[in-house]
Amino acid sequence: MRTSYQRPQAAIAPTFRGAASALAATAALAMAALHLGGNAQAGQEAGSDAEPVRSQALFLTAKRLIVSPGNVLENASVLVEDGKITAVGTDLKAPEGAQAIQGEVICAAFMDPWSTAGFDTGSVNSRDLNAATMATDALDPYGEKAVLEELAASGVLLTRSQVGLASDISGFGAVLRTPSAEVVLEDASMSAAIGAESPGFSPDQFGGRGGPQGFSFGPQSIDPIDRIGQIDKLVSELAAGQKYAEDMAEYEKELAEWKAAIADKEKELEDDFKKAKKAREKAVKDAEEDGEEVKEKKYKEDRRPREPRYDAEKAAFARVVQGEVPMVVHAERALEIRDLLRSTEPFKRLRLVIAGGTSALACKKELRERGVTVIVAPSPANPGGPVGELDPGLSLAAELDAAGVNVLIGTGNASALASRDLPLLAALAVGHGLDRDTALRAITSGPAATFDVADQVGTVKRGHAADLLVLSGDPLSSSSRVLAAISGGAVVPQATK
Amino acid sequence: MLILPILVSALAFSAPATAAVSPAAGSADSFALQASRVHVGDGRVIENGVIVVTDGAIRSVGASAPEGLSVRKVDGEIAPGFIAMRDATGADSENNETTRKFTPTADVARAFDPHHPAWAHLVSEGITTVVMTPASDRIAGGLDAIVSPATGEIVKRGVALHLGMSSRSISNFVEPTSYAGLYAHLDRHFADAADGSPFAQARSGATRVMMEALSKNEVARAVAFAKQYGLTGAIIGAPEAGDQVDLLKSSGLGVVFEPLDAGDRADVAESAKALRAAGVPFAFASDAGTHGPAAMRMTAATCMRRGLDAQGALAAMTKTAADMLGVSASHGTLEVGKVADFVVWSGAPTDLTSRATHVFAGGKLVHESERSSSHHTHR
Amino acid sequence: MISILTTLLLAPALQGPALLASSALFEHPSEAPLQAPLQATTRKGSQAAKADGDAPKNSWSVFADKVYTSTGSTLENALVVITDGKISAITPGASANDDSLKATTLTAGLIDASAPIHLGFESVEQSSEVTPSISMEYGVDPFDPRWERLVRSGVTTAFVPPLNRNVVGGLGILLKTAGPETLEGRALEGAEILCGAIGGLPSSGNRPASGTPNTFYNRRPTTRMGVEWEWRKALFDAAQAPAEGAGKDVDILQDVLAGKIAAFIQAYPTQDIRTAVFLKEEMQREGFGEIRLVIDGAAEAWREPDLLVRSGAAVVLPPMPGQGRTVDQAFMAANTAKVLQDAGVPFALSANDARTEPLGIQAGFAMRGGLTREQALRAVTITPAQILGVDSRVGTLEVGKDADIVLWNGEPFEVTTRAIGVLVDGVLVVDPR
Repeated sequence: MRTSYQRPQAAIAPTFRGAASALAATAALAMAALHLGGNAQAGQEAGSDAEPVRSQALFLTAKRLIVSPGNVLENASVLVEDGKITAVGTDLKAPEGAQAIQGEVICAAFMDPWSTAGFDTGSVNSRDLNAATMATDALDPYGEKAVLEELAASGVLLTRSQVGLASDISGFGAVLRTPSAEVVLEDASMSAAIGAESPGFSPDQFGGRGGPQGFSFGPQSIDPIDRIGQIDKLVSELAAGQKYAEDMAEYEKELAEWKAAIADKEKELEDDFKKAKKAREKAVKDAEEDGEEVKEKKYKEDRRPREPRYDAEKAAFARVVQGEVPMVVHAERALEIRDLLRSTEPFKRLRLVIAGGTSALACKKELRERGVTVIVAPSPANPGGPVGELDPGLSLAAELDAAGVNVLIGTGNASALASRDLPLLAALAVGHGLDRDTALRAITSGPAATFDVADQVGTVKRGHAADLLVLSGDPLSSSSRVLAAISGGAVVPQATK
Repeated sequence: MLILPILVSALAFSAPATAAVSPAAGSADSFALQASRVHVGDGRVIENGVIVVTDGAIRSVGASAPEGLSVRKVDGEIAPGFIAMRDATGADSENNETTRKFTPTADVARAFDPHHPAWAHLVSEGITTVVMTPASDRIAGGLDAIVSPATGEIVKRGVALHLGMSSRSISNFVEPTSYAGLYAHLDRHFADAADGSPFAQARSGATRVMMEALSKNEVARAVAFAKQYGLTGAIIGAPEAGDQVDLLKSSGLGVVFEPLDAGDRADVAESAKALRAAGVPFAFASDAGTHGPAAMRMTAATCMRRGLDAQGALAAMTKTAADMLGVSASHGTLEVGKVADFVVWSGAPTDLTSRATHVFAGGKLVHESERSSSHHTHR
Repeated sequence: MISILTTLLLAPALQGPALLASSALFEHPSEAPLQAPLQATTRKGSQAAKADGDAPKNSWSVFADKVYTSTGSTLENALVVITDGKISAITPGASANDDSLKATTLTAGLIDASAPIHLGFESVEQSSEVTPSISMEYGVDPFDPRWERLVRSGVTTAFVPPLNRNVVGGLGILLKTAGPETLEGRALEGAEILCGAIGGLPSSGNRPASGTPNTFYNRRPTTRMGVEWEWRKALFDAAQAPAEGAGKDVDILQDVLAGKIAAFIQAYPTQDIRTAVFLKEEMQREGFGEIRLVIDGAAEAWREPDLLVRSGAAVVLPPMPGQGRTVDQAFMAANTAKVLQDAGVPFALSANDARTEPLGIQAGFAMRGGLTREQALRAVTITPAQILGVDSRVGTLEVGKDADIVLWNGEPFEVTTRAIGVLVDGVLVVDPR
């Protein structure tokens, strides 16, 4: 359940997620029409007045069908109808009229769990964000087409995108279907960063490789005390969210009790109707005789419980602290990761995700025990290469995985184009020790599970949305090519070669 | 970097190899390795091939070893060590004489720090040969040098005159501030070159040039300039070279692609394909000082994911690079008599999922992956 | 002569003691003046003959209801035949062939006499303020996407001066706006033109040295007076120098004094226009020579047209500014072109890089200011062709001329009309079909 503490309007309008999805579906429809000349998938949530465009059924066949990493069907097929996977198996027959696509391998589309795709540079670099910011408000379905084409050509069709990479707290990130900029889930994550200078900082500042690269402005260096201060601020926001959630729960409880009490009293009054009426008439008469106003009887049930004042940011953190929405914190240094883990310990339902995590190995035990996921950005673009024990360089993913930590692979770059490299980064991680299936999982079903969209994407299953790749070879092999990219059931034209 | 080659190889290889050496092998420094595949580098692939190394050089490559020499089997594929066409790792700006745009006789080998720790990372990515170059923002910043980061040797000095002919060499604060000024200077240096000067050497073909040019306009001008003075060598940069295939092919110049930054358009992928199809030689720069040690392999892999064949990618990082530098007699392929610079990869040499399990330079084991034995299978 | 560029290189500020000690390592530039090496081959380069057989089609016929020829005549229902890139016949009262291109009206390809499609700061050699031999053949990029925007607006020939940061910036370049992506393939053989500027901009980067000079920007000029002084000094020195062997820079300035190379001087407000004219008159008075003066950007030319008439200068007007003010706060009146027309000053219009109002719209503005369509047409076709010395090849629709033709879907220069087709050297670069 992800429905509590919406903004007040949510009670009137459909929920925000619903509203935004409808909007996005419309936008996606427009995009799809633009891309495909009308032969496009309308999306299930398109408004009723929008004429649904039926896409042609697709029948994909390959020698290897990777249902999920490690679960492979030989010589199998996938049937796609109306944007969904309607059949997966080894003995399927192509229905008449279906477009047949063949390849060596079929797998779920790659998903970058840490991207900025879909958003403009200004939003990505913005520092004036807060917990209530919805990244999807800045979503531009008509954004740079060339970028989205390159992403699609590399097989990255899904992203968990966020804005405000350099913002201490940057609000809700979304899961996007990048070729059409369709929103899969608009409140997929809450994002925060420790050391807001991080996306541009020099790795030398902490003696190791850096996190995301790509832009550099604002304060280039803040000291450890400042960074710990940021953690304190984040923790107090979480605490405020906790308090808000408790106050809300208290209020709802009181409200329910009050309603029950009112009901009881009404019943009591009704049962005693005549007596009460007589008593009131007498009171009225007495008052008139005395020339006074009638004093109505007061009931303690008259006092309605007071609703806590609505606060969008606290409401957002209330959702985070209750584990409704995972919280992605960009943190690189061991000191910060350790402090973050310690100070968030009291929030038992918090779903913490560390992004970057260069020195996360220092805390591998706590990360494993707390079930914290780490999004490794194994950028090869780091001067100097790995330095020292706390910076294993490109081996980070392998070593965290070996320590039992749940690892995802992302790009975390201010440039959306960086997501193009996702499959290469996963391959590099394999080259540096990560198990192949684990690496594939880290860019498909893993991100889908972490960001609560595993019931829709990330694996090749009946009923899932058709976000699929047909490849000429193993998904992570450098010599493999994307033969066809299917996003939301539609073939992305430019990505298909 | 000189990472204790003796010690490592004693542990892993020398002991079994030397122990079994027969007098017939002729040298105590011989050993033979057999891999599931040996990529010679010129397109030939020998299944279950054996490479024999004697005194730091390749003695034979083939199906078997000479009698009496024990053959150690390794799990993986052997390929020539990679050649990075531009790098200044560890030079710490010592390759950038910022007071001058023209220091043509400067020897970049002077900026080579063989003990810099960062070299180890390049070696671990299978790079055994590096071209040290002056900084890109000089105009004639000096003479490129080929170095072996693993052994610390300077392989060849003065291998090419390095020329900055891109907007990087033009700033508003130092002369020249214009392309016209840049070319006027270059023209004067080449036209009035004194005998024996690098410019005269380049004109006579005795020295190659490496010309940095990025935009199509810059590439077209650099090609015209090379033609005017009969220069040979390569263009460094040219991400859109795919649009200028005819021009480049007729020029006889090669192309060196720069590593991609995250966020760069992958024009280079289309260009590499086009050059490969047209037979224009191309290689890759590593620029590990600013891009990290894996950037060259990753750029090659980006090209492969867009259609460059694996053989083409391998050639670009081995044989073609050696040809372009004029050191194909000693480097670039695994052939008899050449320097024993080679890498054992856990899989295909150009695949990013492969790991350099063992790296040999000059016949010595200079890197061994900690994980060369097994994969993690914990999940 | 030691060029300023060279002496700057040898200046003490650039020679640290450490370098002096190891100076054997470094080659000093020789003391010969700078030469732009490819000038001879490219500036005067002719159309590159495509050796291969797949040259683009350059023979067409074009039919229009009305053909404005820029020669004073307007032809009705005319068929223009193009053979091998040249106009081979123009027949009024004809009818279209089956395969004719069709348009409502035709004009000659427009000519922008001052189009800054250059590489910005990389087009000007700021290490000296007087760089006559710096050629714009290095300052333009034939792959620049702005060429396409220009040609789509109907401009088929453009003159590109260097960025206006030097007093004497160098030799401008005259190019077709479409064709092969090489300078050789685009360059037009026209008048040689030396470009420079008077006013605030050429001095804007300079500053006086206080203490030790630490950049080449510590230099004159920092004022308008200094700019004028640089011009005069350069021309005086050239006049005093020997006729032979004084170097390329001096050769060029001597040719300017001899009237062989035109002087294309940017001057927006009245005070700068006066300076340009006074410069010409001073050289005349001293007997140094007769400068062929073109004043570029002459926004305030309307204020003292008699001065211009007296000087014999030609004028290139800047694009009409939105608020009246142009560079150096010069005010350009709406009837500037009309004033020049009435006074008999030869003038051309220009449109910057066609990002906002393209050249056709500038002609429309001139019509709003009082010109007839025919007069406005001349100011964007034949007059700039004459100023640039290429009127024998372009600027009118006549038999034998380059087939540079704009196909319009209405009366040219109306805001509701646009260029639907463009031919450059007979090649259809914007297809009306």
